[in-house]
Amino acid sequence: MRRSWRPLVRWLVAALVWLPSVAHAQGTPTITVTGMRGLLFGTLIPGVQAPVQPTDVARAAWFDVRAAPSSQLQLVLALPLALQHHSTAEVPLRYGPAAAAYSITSSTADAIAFDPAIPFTVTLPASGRVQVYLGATALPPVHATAGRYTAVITLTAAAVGN
Amino acid sequence: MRPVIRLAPLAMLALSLLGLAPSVLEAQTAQITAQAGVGAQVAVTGQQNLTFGAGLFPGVARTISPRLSATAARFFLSGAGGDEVNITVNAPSQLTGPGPGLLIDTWRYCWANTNAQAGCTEAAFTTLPLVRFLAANGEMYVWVGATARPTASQLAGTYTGNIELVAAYTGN
Repeated sequence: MRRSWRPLVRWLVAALVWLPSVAHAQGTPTITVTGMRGLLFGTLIPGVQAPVQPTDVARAAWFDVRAAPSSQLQLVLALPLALQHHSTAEVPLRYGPAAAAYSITSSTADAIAFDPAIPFTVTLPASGRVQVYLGATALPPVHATAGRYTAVITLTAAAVGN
Repeated sequence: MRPVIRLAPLAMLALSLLGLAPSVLEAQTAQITAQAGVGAQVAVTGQQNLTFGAGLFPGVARTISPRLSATAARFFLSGAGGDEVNITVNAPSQLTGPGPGLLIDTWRYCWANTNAQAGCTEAAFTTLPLVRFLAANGEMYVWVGATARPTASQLAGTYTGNIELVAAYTGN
C-alpha cells in the first residue's frame, strides 16, 4: 500500500500555526530597549563647562529596558566623545565614573550609579523593567562655533547566563 | 515514482519552535541623541581710542577720566542679554614712541549698560576681573582712562600702546 506523506505535512502545518503561541506563552526572553529622552545640555556658553547629572529628571539621557523578570542583562553604552556641529566644530564630552545610573523602581531617587564606560550587568526585578540614565559634562571651547551640536548615544542590552 | 519529502528541515523548524533547538542569546539596541546649542561669544568692539592729544607736555602729567573725558577709550560689548561676564583689561605701563617710553598708569574704567558715559560706574583696575551683567539687550559699554606722565626730557612725537579688553561669560 502506498503511504501518503500528506498527513505528516498537515501535522507540521498545524504545529507551525499552533506553536508560536505556545512559545510566546512560555516567555521567550524578549528584550526591548527604548530611548525615552535624549541628553539635553541646553544652551552652552563658550568656555564654560556644563555638567548634566544622571539623576537630572529633565536633562539626563533615559533608556527604558524590559525583559523577563529575574533575567540578567549586560548593558553596554556606546558613548560619543564629542557633540558635533554641522561644520567640523566639536564640543568634547566627559563621562565620570558615576555618570550613569540605573533604577529598578522607575525613579531617579534611588538610582544606583555605575561607570558608563564599563559594561554593566543588572538583574531585572519582578517588574522586568530597568531604567538607565546617563549624564555627562560638555566642555565647549572658548572659541566654540555658535550653533546646534548633536551626537548619538547607543545602549545595547544583551541577555547573559542561561 | 514515490514522492519524497525532506523531513529534516521541517523537523528542525518544529523543534526550534518547541524550544528544543539551541537557544541564541538576545540583544537589543536603542539610540538617543545628545544635543546642545552653543551661544555666540561676547563680541567686543573697540569703538574709540584713548587719546591724550597734543596738549601733553614734558614733565606735566595728564589724566583722562573714563567718566568725564570725551577722549577716553570706549569698548562696546554685545552678547546674551542678562548674562554675567568677566571683563579683564590689559593695558600697557608705558607707551612707545621716539626715544624712551612714555609712562602711563592709574588705569581706571567705567561701565554702563547704555551708551551714557556720564552715568557710568567708575573704578580703578584691579588684579581681579570686573564681573558684571550685560543689559537685557545684551549690551555694555566700558570706557577706559589713565594718567600719562611724560618726563621732563620726554622726546616729542607720537606715542602709542594697545589696550585689550577680554570678556567671557561666567555661566551665571
